[in-house]
Amino acid sequence: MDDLSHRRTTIRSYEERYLRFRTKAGTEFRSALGGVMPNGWTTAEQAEWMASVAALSQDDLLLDLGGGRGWPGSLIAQKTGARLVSVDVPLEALRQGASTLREQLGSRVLQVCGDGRVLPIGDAHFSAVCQADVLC
Amino acid sequence: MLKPRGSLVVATIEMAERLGAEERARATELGPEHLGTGCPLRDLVAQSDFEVVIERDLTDDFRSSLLERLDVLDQRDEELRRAEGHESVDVEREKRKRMLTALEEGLLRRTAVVGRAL
Repeated sequence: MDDLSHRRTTIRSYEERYLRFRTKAGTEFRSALGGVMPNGWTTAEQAEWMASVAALSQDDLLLDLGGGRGWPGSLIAQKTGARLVSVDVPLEALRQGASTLREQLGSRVLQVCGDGRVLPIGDAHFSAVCQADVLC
Repeated sequence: MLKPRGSLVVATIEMAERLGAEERARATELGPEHLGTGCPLRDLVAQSDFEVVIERDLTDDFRSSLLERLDVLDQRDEELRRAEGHESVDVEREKRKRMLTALEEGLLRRTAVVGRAL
């Protein structure tokens, strides 16, 4: 398999993770777990702790790499007042998180579909980067 | 892209430390995809030009979350099988059981590290 095919297969597998448990029963299952499926393990207490140690204020910009539906970056941004850029590869994850992120953060959030390693962003742009269970 | 003295807050599932070759192979077999090479998260952060200021072990919470997920799967097994299909439920249960086994065998842990850019 060439590199491009491999990347496509990988992206598809990430997309598929977010397409599981989307029925009514599946949604209730995810809700019973705090809505963090498929691969999130960061509890609310841990996200609050992350906010407390991130050293951010409302003047700052936070980058959530592999942000998926927006957790835990959304809570860190809510607690600190920082603006959030949430980046991930599966478009489906961004779609599923969009309305909640907008409700929670309004215009303080930007979702970007792409690979966090090659973002077209210059030096010294973000005050903090968070990353939770990416690829896990 | 991070400002000088900017913060990095990262949490991940990783291999436990000081595992032998066979244990690392078993951790890879039981753990999540892309588990990594066994280099501790704090070392990876330090090697990326960050000062590691906090390391926190989240393994107990991870174990609780896995047990909760398996418990809710059991409680909702019938309706989930009807709605999602047997394969989806079986894959989810097996994946989480494998991770739990790895935790019980001391092969995995979940860690958070806070770094400051140098």
